[in-house]
Amino acid sequence: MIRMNKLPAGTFNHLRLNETEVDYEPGRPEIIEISDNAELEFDKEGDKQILINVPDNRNITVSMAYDFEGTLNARTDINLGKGSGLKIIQANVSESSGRLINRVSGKVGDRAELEIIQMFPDSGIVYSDLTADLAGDGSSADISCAYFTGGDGILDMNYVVNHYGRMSNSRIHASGALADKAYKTFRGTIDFKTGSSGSKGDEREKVILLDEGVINRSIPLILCTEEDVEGAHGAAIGSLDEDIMFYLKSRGISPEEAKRLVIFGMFESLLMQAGNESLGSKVQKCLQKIRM
Amino acid sequence: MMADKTYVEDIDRSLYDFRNEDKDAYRLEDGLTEEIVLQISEEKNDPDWMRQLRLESLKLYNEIDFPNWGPSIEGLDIDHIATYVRKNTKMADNWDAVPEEIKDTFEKLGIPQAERKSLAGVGAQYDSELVYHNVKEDVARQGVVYSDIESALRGEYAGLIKEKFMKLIPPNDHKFAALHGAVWSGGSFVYVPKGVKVDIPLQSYFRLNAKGAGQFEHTLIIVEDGADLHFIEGCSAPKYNVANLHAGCVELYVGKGARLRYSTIENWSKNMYNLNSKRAVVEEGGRIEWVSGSFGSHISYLYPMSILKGDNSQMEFTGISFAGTGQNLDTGAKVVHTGKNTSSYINTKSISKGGGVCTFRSSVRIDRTAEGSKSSVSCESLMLDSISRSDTIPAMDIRTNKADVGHEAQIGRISDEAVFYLMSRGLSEEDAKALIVSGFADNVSKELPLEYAIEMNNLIRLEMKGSIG
Repeated sequence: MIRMNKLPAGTFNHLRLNETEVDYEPGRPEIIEISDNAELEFDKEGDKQILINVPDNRNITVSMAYDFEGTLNARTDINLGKGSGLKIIQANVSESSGRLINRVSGKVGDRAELEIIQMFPDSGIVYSDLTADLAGDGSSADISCAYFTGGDGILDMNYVVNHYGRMSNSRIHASGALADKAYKTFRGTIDFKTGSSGSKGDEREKVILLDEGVINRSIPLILCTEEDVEGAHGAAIGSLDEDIMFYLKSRGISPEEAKRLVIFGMFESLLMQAGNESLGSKVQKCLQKIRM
Repeated sequence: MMADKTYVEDIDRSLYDFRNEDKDAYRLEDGLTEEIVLQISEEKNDPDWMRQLRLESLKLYNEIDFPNWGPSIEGLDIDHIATYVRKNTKMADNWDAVPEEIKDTFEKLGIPQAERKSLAGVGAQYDSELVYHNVKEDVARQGVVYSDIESALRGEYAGLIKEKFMKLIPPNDHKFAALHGAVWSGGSFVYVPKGVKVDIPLQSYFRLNAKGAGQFEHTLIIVEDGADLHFIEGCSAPKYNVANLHAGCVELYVGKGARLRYSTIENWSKNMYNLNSKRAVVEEGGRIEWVSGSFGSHISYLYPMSILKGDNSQMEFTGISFAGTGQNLDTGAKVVHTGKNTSSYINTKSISKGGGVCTFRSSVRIDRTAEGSKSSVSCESLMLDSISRSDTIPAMDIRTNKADVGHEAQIGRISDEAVFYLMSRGLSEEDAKALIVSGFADNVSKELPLEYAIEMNNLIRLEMKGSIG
């Protein structure tokens, strides 16, 4: 059993949001060490541990494509040296309804920048747990996620950014669409610790509910023990905007195609931000297979 | 570089922090046992079903765990709480008949004056029992019932009480609901008949005077179809160096097309554990409005819940919490949408200072049946120093695609630019900050009757009064 996606500050037990238990016994992981640009493909089930160490003043990009059957338990540990930068792109492009257990934890040094892009286009069962400790002054974390979950899919996310350093910045943006009987949980936490003066955090979530049977659960937290900070979070959850639908229909686009366009739109900006053509085309391929 | 900041003093509670000696009082021994529960039941001459409910609640209390997600309540030891304390006096319906010492208490709190000026009826509870209850004649003539709950248990509405009592908040709901079920005493019953609109508010005031005691009043309000009521609840206590406990229970039934506004200015002393439960069910086209100001208590767990059962029913919650030294106020609201086209709006502000902790905690659930429903949650938090804490924990659970849910939250400190602007207009830094905080709390004060808004603003001004440091 893996216990993950734990809220840093729990809430009413009856909501069953405080953590997730995943019925999986992890084995000894294969360890992959990285300190330079890399494109990783995970095409088999099993246990992986990815150790990313970015030396001071280096900038690297690591992409991870998940295309597997069964259960993949991937754990990524990150250490960013002073003034370094790391862009991680993770995409679950499995065509089978596999189960992804994806955990990321990172420590970000002075003036270092961590950018994480996650894309989950209609991909079975996904548990995603991410913690970034902004330990250094002037450090930052920019976390973006786009998803589409349909069928009986489960998407269970937890993003936590801990601000320790002064003048640190965080941004968590997640947007996605749910169809059929999708069950999605989003937890997002910005935690301003004492001493993180001058820090800013922003958390946004947009969810489009396409079908009657979907379940959406969201819990965006701000925790704060520092006076001199600015934190904000917002969430917008609802059906497709009728004005957008009307506009698209007036241009001869069917409701099904209109929904698909909106989903594509949610991924488009992240695909551009990722700037990885081969991974981008795999995500596009997954999106094209979505049935409305 | 951080700007200089105002040092903010603790609230001056001398207005509330006076106490009377426990003489002429009947007090059960501390603790919670079956014997004590039966003694309370005997004291109140309960009907059999109520005695049974108390005993079942006690059993549940012993079975249910303490909540593990909120502020610590380790300092609360039920073995050192007296669950029933009664002055040796009977309830009166005119202030002259109330014993001098108790009357003096409520005079100091301004209750009789408020009754004369701006209320349709008043209930005053002192420790475990009501000591005064009265409703204006013209309101009573409309068929409005406002009585203590024990009288209602034996009168014309006995059947109704049995039907509704602890049905919205059953004893198995949580540990403190079970505690309440076992030892409840005092509180009010209000019945507003169909179509009757009560133009001016009713008020209950709860005063807990006894050291190391608990207050467990039960408020049951039934507003029938098309009726309208504003009910105000106030509470205070003197400060002691031992824990006091408040575990009241409020159950509100809002009929079709009816409206109920339930306002609370809570100013318990800082040794109080305020573990209160409030819940409303709203029928078709009805509306519940909560206005809540939380200023006192050592620890608070308070999340008024609304069940929007009827189609087109509505809920609005407006709240403010102000936590200073030694306070941990965990407050918020819950709403469940089950009817179609229902709407809810939660708007809260919180201020933390001097090591105080404010937590906004909410839960919005929109069921599959609640097509066309809308919910909006907005919360803002002010941090006045870096030894305090402010947390925002809002949960949303949406189970229909035909819903529209929005949430916004912000946390920050008083804007330097705003203070600078006001100072450039001749205000001192202290006054500028006090003015900004008063403006921050404006959403609540404007929802209260004038007299109560003034009281709330006085509390804020007292809280903000301090020296520049």
